[in-house]
Amino acid sequence: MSLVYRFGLISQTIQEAVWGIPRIPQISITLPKKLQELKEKLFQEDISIDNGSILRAVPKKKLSHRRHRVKQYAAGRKQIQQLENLVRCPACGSVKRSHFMCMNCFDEIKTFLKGLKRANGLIKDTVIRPMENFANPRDETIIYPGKFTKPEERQLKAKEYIPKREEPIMFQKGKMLHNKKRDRLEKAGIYK
Amino acid sequence: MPKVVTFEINRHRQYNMIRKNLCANLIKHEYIQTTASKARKAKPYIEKFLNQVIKETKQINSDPTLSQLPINQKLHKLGALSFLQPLDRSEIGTKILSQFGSRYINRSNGFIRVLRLEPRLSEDKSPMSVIELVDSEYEFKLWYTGKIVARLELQGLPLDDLTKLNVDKLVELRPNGEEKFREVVEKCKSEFYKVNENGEVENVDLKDKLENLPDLEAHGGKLQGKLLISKKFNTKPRTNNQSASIPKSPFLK
Repeated sequence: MSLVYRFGLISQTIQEAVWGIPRIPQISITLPKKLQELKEKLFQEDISIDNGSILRAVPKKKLSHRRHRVKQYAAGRKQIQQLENLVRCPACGSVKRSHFMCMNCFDEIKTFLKGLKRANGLIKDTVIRPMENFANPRDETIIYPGKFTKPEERQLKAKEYIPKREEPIMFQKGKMLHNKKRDRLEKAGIYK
Repeated sequence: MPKVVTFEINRHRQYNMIRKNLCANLIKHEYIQTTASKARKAKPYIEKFLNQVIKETKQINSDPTLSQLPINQKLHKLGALSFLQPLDRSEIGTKILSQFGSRYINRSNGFIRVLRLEPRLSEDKSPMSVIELVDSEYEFKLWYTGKIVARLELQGLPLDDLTKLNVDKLVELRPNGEEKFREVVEKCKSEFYKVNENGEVENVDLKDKLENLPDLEAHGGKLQGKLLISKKFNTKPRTNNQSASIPKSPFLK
């Protein structure tokens, strides 16, 4: 489809150049030889329609102001709702939702508790082979060469595809307030 | 627009099995991280089971003849174990008989706690929560409050009203509660804030984080001792009504 548009318009431009009069674009099945000639011409003369890109599907008509606003702002469930229940975590000082556990502290405590369980003997790790102390570390690689792993497998083992939580932002009360309220308090000299 | 609830009527839902397995694994591991809906639904059933089992263990331990029996015969006396699946009964029954009798001497109900977490980072983004046994060593709320107290002591601030209340709740019914909590605070200082032998924080990043102070009015300021009083409106405590003497009715004799 795009070819038809393109060559139709090209023929128009050539006609304009030759005759000096714009004509109706002719759509006709051309031979492959002629197509190649045209193609060569196109790239030699640097004639490009819509910057050389492919024409894509576009909406037929412009959205009116009202329809646009209805689509964007009327549906309450589509919008991302603002979080207003943000407080300071008393244990680490970062931002957290009130009545929720701070996830930064939770992850820290969880890893600590697992270590505590391991020390008390509740979690028992499976030992593949007994530990041996080698004087030269090169001996270990020769005796236990290990399984050859492909780079793809190593990438999978690293588990980079698992999403991780971002580091929390430190809580600052001035930044949590609404703009108008913050300005009013700044004038009073309470927050900087 | 109201949400349309769709579900298959003839589908077999394994709610009963979820309750049993969650109950068994909670006692085995002391805490469990599950989705919020599972935790909410399983909570009353676990609470009911623990209430019955611990009541029976206390009866066995107090009775002089029953307490001398071997463990296999003691397990038959625990009738509440029939709630669990048959494969789990012996393992969990022995743990309850050995540990839970002494742990919950002062407590008669309220053995579990559910904490709310942020939604998980998978595709479904389902809200999560933690079920945990109260008064255990591996309790999230115990270590979290321990971390709060450690932070405030390093900053040199007095305790907040809300943390005071939480500490009192944790310490009240736990055997040797105050000593245990003091150990937790000292452990939190060394573990999470990397405190030196001289009691100083060496790490630069942790030092910067300690400079982020809380609202000082709640820590020894105006708002101290006003946990349940409104901060928005200037309310006054209600005055005691004076006892008025009702005059005697003339119709009575």
